[in-house]
Amino acid sequence: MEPLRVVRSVAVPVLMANVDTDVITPMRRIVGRSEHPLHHYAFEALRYLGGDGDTGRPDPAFPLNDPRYAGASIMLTGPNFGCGSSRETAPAAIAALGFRVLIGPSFGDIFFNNCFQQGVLPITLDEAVVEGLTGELTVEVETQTVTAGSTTVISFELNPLRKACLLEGTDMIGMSLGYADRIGAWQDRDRVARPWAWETLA
Amino acid sequence: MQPDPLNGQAQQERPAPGAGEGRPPEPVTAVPTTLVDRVWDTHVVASLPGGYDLLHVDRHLIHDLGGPGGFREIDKRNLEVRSPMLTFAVTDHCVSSETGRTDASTRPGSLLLPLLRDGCRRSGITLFDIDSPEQGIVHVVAPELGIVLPGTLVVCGDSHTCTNGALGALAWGIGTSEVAHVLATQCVVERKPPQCRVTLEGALRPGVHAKDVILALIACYGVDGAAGHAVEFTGPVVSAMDMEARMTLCNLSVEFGAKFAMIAPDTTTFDFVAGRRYSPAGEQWDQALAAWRTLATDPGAVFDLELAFEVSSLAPQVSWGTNPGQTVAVDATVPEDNAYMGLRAGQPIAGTPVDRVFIGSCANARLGDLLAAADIVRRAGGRVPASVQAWVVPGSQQVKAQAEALGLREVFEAAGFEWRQPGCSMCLATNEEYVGPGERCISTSNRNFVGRQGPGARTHLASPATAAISALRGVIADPREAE
Ligand code: SF4
Repeated sequence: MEPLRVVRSVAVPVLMANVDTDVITPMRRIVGRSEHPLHHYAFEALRYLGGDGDTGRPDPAFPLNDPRYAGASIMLTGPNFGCGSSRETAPAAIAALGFRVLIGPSFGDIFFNNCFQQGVLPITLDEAVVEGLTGELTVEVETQTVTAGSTTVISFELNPLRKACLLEGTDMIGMSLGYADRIGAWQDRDRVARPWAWETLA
Repeated sequence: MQPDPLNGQAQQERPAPGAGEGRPPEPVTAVPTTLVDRVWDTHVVASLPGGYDLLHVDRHLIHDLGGPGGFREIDKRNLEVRSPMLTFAVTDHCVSSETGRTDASTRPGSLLLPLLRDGCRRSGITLFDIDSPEQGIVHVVAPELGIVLPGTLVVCGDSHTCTNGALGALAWGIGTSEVAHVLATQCVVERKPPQCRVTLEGALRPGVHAKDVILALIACYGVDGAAGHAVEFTGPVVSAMDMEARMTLCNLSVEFGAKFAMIAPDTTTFDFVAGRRYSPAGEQWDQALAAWRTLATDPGAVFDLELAFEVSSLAPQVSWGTNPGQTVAVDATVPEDNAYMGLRAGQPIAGTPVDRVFIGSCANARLGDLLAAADIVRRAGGRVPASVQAWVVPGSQQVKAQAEALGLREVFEAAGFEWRQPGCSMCLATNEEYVGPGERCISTSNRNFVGRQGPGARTHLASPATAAISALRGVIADPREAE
């Protein structure tokens, strides 16, 4: 995973509320055999005319198709972005589209956590602040700031564990494997303390 | 609607200051803790920066849709499954519910079932495969086999893992990379959520079930009513519920915005758990029981949020919109226009013609649910009209066998229902069992999002009793008609 330190990019506004994970990666594209990789179908219903990523042309009205935002790696999102089912293909497809940062007023809980596993940083800011962000933004993980233009600096919250993972380009599995000995010790103690939780499974 | 929390009442339950004076001093106890604290704290392997804990997973459940991705991820990194005996796999999301089904009956199944099988075989994980007499929906099978026990920490790559909280387990849904994390480390990284107590007051009237309670609760407080919280359900309504009803209640806690839900184990729980395939027995049963009896919230424990809900006047509920909070009593009218659902403000919800009926899913496909539905079919009489396709999809092979032994299959089939093989079926439509575009389905599942049951599908969530009477009438109907 690429470390995430500083991202400088225009920000694509995808500001509708309650974009659920099925809109981001439709189930029929996850389980079906498709001509294209999954991220081609990301936001399919909104992104292609007729809502079909195989037959439809890109809908010029959808911001991801707007040439002004080509190559963007920051997306502005609406309230409750990524709600719905826990599917991890949603942040994976967003990462595959080249996005490293999402900025929105709120995110689906599981989606929010899944983003970090894909090296995508979701930033929660007030709705009015999100809607006011335009032009090129600079997101700096170390200082936890979003800079718009040359003057406006906005701080955001970031859990220290998440931050360490992003800066190092590692993920939780890498982090937790470092605790293998303590996990073993916990299990040894637990087999004694709660034999009933173990014995019937052997 | 403004919620009416019983904060005052909850506070009165705390011992008044100085209440213990004049009596011998109580043994020194720590700050009062909650049920969630109690189970959570004993599972902490290490505290991590930022308020996260590395927690031991006692029971890891995987399924055909999420399992293969987990195996692929650990294979990619050359990692082994750390504790295969603590993981159980089922086939549910991608299997067909038709008789005589095979892997090839669905495209996702033909793709994913071999991958799941291969991963389980290589790592030594127990799999309840498509032809196993224990196959079924993961959240039906796990409690039924005694895999989930009170006081255990349970995760699964599926948001309705919270169902298992009904047994007094700490249980929540995780994402695919977390599945790989659990396979590799037998741990999960999580922050303890804020806690919410939901006290259910009163008593249910006939024809009103756990599904109606949770739908009405969500309608009252909103789909974010318990946003991000760990919920403990308590109160006389919960105490009176059997385990299956409690599972329904906890199942839809994610639709209430909760991270997960839990119910303190009691004799109902212990009776349910006793004697199941993986439940402790003999001396270990006694030991387990002693431990389980300590699993309760202390008097005076403080919650971040207290909600209360009175159920005595509740009617059967039906959703009219595209989130579970958009729910009304079956004898009420639709509150606003909804183009997707094809409904107008002011029209009675009852009497709306349905094309499909789905009695199934981890919300409502246990034996008690099928009994409730069959009971309505017996009392109401009549047949499912030819224009309506009504399915009963038992939650597991065991449920199916028990229901058949009780003669329920005949009751349903004689009334024109289709009796099918266990699986998620039309709850999610990953197994190619869709509700057609524009078709209206009354469903005992838990989600009525746009397209959930297939592109353009219109879903009405309801209890098995309401679904059964609606099937017979061909329109959304009130199960109390059959009382
Ligand atoms: S029945 Fe529905 S909600 Fe339950 S596990 Fe299957 S797909 Fe998920």
